[in-house]
Amino acid sequence: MDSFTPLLAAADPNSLAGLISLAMKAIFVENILLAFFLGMCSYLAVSKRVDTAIGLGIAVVFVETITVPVNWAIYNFILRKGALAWAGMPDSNLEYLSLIFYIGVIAAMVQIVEMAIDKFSAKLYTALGIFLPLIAVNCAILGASLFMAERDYSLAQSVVFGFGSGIGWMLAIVSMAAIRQKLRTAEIPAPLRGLGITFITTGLIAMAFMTFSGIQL
Amino acid sequence: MALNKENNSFVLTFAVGMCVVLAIALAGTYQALSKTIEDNELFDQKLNVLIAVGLHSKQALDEGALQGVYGEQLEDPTQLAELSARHAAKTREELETLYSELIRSEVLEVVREEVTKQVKRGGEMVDLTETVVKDLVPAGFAVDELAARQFEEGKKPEAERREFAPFYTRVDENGAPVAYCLPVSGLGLWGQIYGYLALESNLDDVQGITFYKHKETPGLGGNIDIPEWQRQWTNKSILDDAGEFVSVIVKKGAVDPSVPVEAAHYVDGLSGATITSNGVTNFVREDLQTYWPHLQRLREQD
Amino acid sequence: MTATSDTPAVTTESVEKTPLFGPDEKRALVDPMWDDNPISLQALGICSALAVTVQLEQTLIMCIAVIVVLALSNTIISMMRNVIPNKIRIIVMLTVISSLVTLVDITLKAFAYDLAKGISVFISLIVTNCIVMGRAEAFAMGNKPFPSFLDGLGNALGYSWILMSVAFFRELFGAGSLFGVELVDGSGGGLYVNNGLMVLAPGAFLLLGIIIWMQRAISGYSESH
Repeated sequence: MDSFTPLLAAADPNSLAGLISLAMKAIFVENILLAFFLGMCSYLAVSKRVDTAIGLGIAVVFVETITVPVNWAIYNFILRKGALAWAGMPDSNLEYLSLIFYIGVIAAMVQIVEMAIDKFSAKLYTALGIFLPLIAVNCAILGASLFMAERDYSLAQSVVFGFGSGIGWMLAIVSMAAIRQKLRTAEIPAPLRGLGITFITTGLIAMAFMTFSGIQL
Repeated sequence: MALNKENNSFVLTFAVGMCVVLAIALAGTYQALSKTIEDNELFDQKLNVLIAVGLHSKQALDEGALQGVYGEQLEDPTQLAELSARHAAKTREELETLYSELIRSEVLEVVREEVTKQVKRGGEMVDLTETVVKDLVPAGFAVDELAARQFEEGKKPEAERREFAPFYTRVDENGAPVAYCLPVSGLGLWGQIYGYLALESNLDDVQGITFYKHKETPGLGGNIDIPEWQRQWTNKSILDDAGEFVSVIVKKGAVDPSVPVEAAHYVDGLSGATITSNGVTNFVREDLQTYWPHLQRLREQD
Repeated sequence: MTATSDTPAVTTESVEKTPLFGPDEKRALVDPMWDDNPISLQALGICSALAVTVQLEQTLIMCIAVIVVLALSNTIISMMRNVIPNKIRIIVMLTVISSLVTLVDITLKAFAYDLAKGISVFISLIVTNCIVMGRAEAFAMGNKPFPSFLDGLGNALGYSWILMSVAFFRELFGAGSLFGVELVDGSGGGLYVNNGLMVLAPGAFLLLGIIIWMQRAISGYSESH
């Protein structure tokens, strides 16, 4: 069968090469916003200006990098089937509580970030406004935790994945904000202004990102 | 009396109270329904074994519709009877009965060993050690226990883990084997793909393939679910004319039936889904290799 | 979460006896379907929605789940509105919503396993569907249970029709079928070749952009820059 060449064996997922490949995948190939549509609400609302977009992007990267590993620990030591073996309950299966736990961790983390931003940058705090507490309901963050559990990542992988998908989200929102700033002077039919044109532009960005799909690093 | 709801002790009581109420509600529902969910998962697997070995199809077709799908095969009356039985709509009870009457299942333990061989690398010969399957031996428990046993193994350190492999045989009314079925699984584009591959009793021709769990893009890689695509696998052979193992290969593009090798071993590629196609090719071959000693033994028994 | 700023909570609470289904209730139910549509005008709830619009069947299940969760969460939060401490209200709402979503998920897995299998992760993401939180915060916290229930129902229906129309076009153009029933042979042999872009993410974005454009052109709404 000479016409068939097997795919190269993937690198060990926990090696440095494997982790870099995972980060690249999370940022470009499987961009959490452009490929999975997660985190759309704040993406649409906060992408009007580049500086606020960068601020929110950094907050999301920070929250994701912390919540995914914390939720990893919760999933693997408390929720997962048999995870409570260390506490003498080998038959436990609390997976149905995962949503509540994840959301709790995320809400607590967001609270901490909010206090930190308030203390260090009052300007950013007012600019982000209501969107800061609402990172808690940013689906990108919950989504990353759910994907982590579903794909059975290791601790190192979950850190890298959390960070990578945060960066990917930030990349999408910052580029969108830059485009929208330019669009402000464009003549767009009235009903298409705002939401409509934003979606169509997002579609075009997503199409560009699709060229990454299937890249094996 | 006005309720002071911003009082700290009230906040705390409220939070604790709400957690207790919700925890009871969720745990209660889960306890009540977890058995049904587990049954659904098990049934889904049985259903897919039945589909792979050709006893059932997700497409319910009457005879007129069969004509359109199968064409000339229908002239053979035994074929027609078999196909219309396969495509008849069945209730869950009927499927359970069908499974318990015509499917025999067993669990095998995979014994692996390390083999060192010399390969040429960069101009010089180096030793390359790889783990290959040495044999499959009966594991001594039924398929029902498989999930629990695998769960137990998962707690052990990796070096001590035993590897189990389920194997299914479709028998006729007299208990003679008609087809053999093994699980196949591996990476597609987005994640693991799980399915079953069935071989005819000659252990060469494919009887059928089915996938029951995957995350491939609907409309592209997700087309591995489509019956028309799965039907192409039927009657492809995994051995070449000399009896050497070649497996079945998902081609990039359409199969050219005038090329004998392609007609015998290739199925059409999924358009726009090269990674899914290559993934299926790879894991089908790997899983067939894992079961090889067992398949070889069955061949010799004939 | 533009809902909080754009649509101030309509207070229907009054001491006098009001009819069970008066004009306010009607407005709570009907407005979000067109004039104040959660997706095309409030820009809420797009996150978990687009991923399931490849096939109509999955979309329908997703919509039913959202309708159940949104109507119930609005009702429950409205019933609790007088006792929820303000400090912890966000987390209380999230807990109520995630419990409801978990219940829906478990129920689907038990009674519609085949369908639940494919969309389980997306059902979980209803928790962070901004519509649910947005309506809880903007409406349920300030209104009686029955109007809140209607508001939830109305918003969920407004959300559903947009989703169903996106799914209609994606399935029709992307796979040549509707509800899994093949209408045209799009595999390349016939007149029409399936448009692969429709089933991918960009197709969804473009379609939604066009649908919003049409909806706003008809309803006459336009955003200032």
